[in-house]
Amino acid sequence: MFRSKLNRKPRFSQGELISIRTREEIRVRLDILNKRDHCLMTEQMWGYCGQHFRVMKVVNHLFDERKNKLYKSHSPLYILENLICHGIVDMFPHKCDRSCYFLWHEDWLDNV
Amino acid sequence: MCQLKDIEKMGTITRIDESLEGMRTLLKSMYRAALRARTFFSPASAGVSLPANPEKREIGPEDRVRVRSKKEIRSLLDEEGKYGGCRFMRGMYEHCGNSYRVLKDVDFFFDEARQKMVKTKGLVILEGANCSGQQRFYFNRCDRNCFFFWHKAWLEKIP
Repeated sequence: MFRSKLNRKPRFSQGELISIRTREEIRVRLDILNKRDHCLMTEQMWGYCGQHFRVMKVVNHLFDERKNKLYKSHSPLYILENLICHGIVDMFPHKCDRSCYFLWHEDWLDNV
Repeated sequence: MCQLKDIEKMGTITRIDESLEGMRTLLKSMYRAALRARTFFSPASAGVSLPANPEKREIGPEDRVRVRSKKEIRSLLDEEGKYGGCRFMRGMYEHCGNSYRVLKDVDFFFDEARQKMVKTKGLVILEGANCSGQQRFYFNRCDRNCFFFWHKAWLEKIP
């Protein structure tokens, strides 16, 4: 009833084994800022291309701490098992230790 | 660049959440007032012995630790539910008494709310102790699966 028209049904489910597409396949799906539907493909994420991982969670909702609001994601996003950010980002003066799970856009993933 | 910078553009606020925003703010302030009143009339530390030298624990990455009991942790928290500025969140109580491996020391982290890097002291993250995303006054849960920040005083090292 309250689903946004922008959302589409996730293709993968929790626990499913998926493969991350190759660098070339992902690159053609990104805009000039390395984003797909505003989801950024970070430097560290390129290192996992072509590898297999298990879906830990389908990300339907995201809490924005800055705005203090819960958002429903536009496009299917996923969290993959053990893929956490090491925190070395050029925009930060120090290494961030939050160890966030990366958000993977569905278009960057494929069936095994 | 960090993925967290664009969180608000990755989604839309649902109609039900939007319509309840004002109500939620009111409920949150009422809840906080009730919490303060409860702490004022019955301090959490009553009848509970404080852990000895909670600040002196030497806990580091790879160590096995046990999360202290609810009572012990409550005795350490102030009226805002914080210890050393770190909030003990509601979802963290379910981990009390369980043992985990320390994944990392938290020296710096990016504070999304303030949009800046923050230096911290005495915090760690534990493997497998993640936020379930369930929050008061929200119908849907957040799926970001963030690691909780644990103050070392809330943990006991397992030899």
